[in-house]
Amino acid sequence: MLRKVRKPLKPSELKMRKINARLQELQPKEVLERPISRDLDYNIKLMKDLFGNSSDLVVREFHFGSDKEIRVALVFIDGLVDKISLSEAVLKPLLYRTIVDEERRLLPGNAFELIRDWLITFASTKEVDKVGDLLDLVLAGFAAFFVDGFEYALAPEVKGWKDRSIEEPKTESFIRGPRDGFTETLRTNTALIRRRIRTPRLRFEMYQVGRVTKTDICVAYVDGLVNPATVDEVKRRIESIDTDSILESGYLEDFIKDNAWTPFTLLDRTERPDKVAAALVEGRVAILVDNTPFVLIVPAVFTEFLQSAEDYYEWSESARSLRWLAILITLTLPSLYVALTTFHQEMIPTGLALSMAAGREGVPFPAVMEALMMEITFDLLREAGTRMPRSVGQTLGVVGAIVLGQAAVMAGIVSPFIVIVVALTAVTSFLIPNYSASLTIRLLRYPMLLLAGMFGLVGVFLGLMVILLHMASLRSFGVPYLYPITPAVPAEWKDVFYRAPWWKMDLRPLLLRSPNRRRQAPGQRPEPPPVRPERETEAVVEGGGRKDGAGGNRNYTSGMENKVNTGKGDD
Amino acid sequence: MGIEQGKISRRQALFLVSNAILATMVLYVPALLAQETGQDAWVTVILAGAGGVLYGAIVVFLGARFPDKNLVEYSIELLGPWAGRAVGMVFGLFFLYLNGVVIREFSELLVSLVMPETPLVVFDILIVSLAAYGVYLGLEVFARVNEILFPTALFVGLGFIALAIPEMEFYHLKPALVHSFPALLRGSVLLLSFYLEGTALLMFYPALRRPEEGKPISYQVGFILAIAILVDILGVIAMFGPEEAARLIFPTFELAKTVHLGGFVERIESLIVGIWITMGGLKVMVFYYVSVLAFAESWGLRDYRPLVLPTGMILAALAVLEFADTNQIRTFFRCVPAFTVTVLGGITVFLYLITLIRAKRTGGKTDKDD
Repeated sequence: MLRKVRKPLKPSELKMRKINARLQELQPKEVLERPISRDLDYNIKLMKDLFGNSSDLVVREFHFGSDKEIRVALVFIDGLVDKISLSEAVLKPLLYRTIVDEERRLLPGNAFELIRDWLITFASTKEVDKVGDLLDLVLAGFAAFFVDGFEYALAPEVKGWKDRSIEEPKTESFIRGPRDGFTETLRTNTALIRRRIRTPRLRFEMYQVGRVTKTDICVAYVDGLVNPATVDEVKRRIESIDTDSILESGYLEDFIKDNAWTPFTLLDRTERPDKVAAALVEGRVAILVDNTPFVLIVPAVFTEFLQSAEDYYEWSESARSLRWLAILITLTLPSLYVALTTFHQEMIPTGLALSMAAGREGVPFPAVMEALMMEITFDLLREAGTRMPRSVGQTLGVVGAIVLGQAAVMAGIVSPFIVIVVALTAVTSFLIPNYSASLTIRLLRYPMLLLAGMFGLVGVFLGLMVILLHMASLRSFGVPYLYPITPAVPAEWKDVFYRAPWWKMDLRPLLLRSPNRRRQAPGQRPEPPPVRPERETEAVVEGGGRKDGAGGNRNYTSGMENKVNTGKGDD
Repeated sequence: MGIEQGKISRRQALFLVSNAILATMVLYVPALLAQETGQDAWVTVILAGAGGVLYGAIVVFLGARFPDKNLVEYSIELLGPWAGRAVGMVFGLFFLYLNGVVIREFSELLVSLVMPETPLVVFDILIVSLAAYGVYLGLEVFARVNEILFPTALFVGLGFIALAIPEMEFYHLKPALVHSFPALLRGSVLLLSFYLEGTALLMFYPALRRPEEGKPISYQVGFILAIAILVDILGVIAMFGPEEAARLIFPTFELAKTVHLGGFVERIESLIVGIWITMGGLKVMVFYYVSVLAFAESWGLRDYRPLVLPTGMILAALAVLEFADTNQIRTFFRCVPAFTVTVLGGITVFLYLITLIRAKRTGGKTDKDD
């Protein structure tokens, strides 16, 4: 007998259903959906119940009107509102002005409209009728203003809390360049970006993620410069996050990166508004998270991690190549040392080989053990240095340098050469401007060391191949991670291995697929003014320093109504 | 509807094919050609280059005729399901076997020249694992890696030869044209058999971003290879003379050994091992990929990845079992032209002829006309 059988659920689906059933809102939905009541006492009790007598909830009840017949209540969270503006803009006018003018007298019947339209002198005030919406506002630093007999509440935006002032970023310090850094307040951060990009097409779109924390997340991009598909993808990934808390952009990073299991960081992060502005103008998307100064930039490619924003202010052609060298040294020097001393002694020049052999004479360990020990010691010191209280930092330096370096060599545990190797690796690893990238490279030294210890140079090259293959397989929001090295776009190497002057970088990066690729007029190479012997002075004044005058600029029209000329830097 | 979803650029395909041919050619050809034709080896390079470009024209003709299908797919279309699949299997098995030879060569090279105390099977397994990882990640990935590594390796290799120039004696190249024409022809057929390995292109031709622009690949590959091998052979012969070069197992490696610079940089031939690991690893990857893709297409699988691990095991074993020692490899290279020309050349030319006949029968137009 044929019977239609229901297709059984896969175990994974079943599991998901169970998990989803258990994943419930902290706050029952039905309370949040409830409308605000006409009864003031009920509203006050509801708020108090919802917060469970939390000490920072302030509920103030008072009467006003000519005969004190109008009952109102003010509810806000202590510490999130600016009390001075609250009393200046909200309380004072209510308590002092009982009569608006001759026709409009404050009565219980019209109190709400009058308060809203005439009395509250605060710029941004919202009117809500649902408990849930009001809660969100109160928790964000609004004050709730109930009037007895009305089923609405007014919420003036009296946000104001103690926050850090704008300081120089601690993790990215420059010699030349702006000194302002992001703070923990999202609004301040957006303003820092807005001040640098004065176009209405700079967009900040807000999202709220986190069932419990309800963290504000802001997606910033410049419409018309960014590839819309990238923005959609960013939004899609942020919207699909379902977690209880986002306390830092690092939480978000793990959720939205393309490849879950990779030691490499697939998003760029920075504390510097100038860097974010540069990325936005290039056609990237920035993700700002409330309560952290670290802003994410997507898509990010590996070569970017070797670029410091300062490269673009203080021109130094050697910095980039030095960093590439540094990355190579960090990754391979310890393993090359091991490979050469263990397997390929013939490659070391004779004199050096002899002194190395002499240095290693009393060392009881094979080179690979020696290198591993020292590298791990260094990483321990570094980790201790980042976590320890600042006042004992000096002690650590002494212990690290003298006790572990000097004494280990004198005791014959390690050879002096490995100390040089480790020290050099340590220095070079800090040359990589991006901290996460530097950590990754340092992590990869260990497998490289083991390979070198087992298979010599063959192992080193094999390890490099595997790393390269892995990196080539990564993508950041669709952009290949090793771009523009491979897939090779030689035209963009001028910003990879060295930094070309600004007048040469006419185009935005190809793979960001910006709808507006040209970023400046071509042919802006500065030249000395043409020499005209008969009217020399005039030539200097009129020549403008450019071959074709400013013709290139004049004829050029950007696709944007508001031309963003990065060629000139900030004004 | 192919298995491979990745897309590669024309330059990536060009470098992949060039690397796949050059990696072993550079190792063995100088010695073999020196044996056959001595100082006249450059003539065979020209002859074989011409033959290679001609063959390449056939290959890209097939590729361009079926821009969205790989070799196995259109042999199924041309020959029907059974014969077509048989051709696909033969194609895959041929590359599997050849890949075993290649892996063996590289392991042999590493053992005999760099780490004589390590058993061969260690390097065998290392290379196969590396290649398996690359193949698992997909065509797009190793094509990209190859795109940077092949030019780098070529550059470093040419640099080595340039640094060896002070040691060379160019009178070794004289007298010119003393070898008989049959000897030259034998030499060029030998060289041509390496060129035929470029047929691998037909397995990833449809992955080209713009298949209709793939035709120049044939002569570009021919040009790159001719220059590289010519410089290599001339360097080797000028360095050692034809007789000595013929006796050496890895003459190019011996050439690198003579390099020294400023009394400080000496005996850096181990660095050239690095080049061979990258080039060889990528060559093995390409052949590995071609064979698993051919098997997967022949059996109608949706993905080739399940085949990567078993094929890798077979490859590792094959590389050890194929030959007893290095001499057998050299003997094998005497008959490899017959092997390659009949199987690879046979399949390609056969498919080419069938396509032509079909085209004629339908009045110069096939259903898949460009």
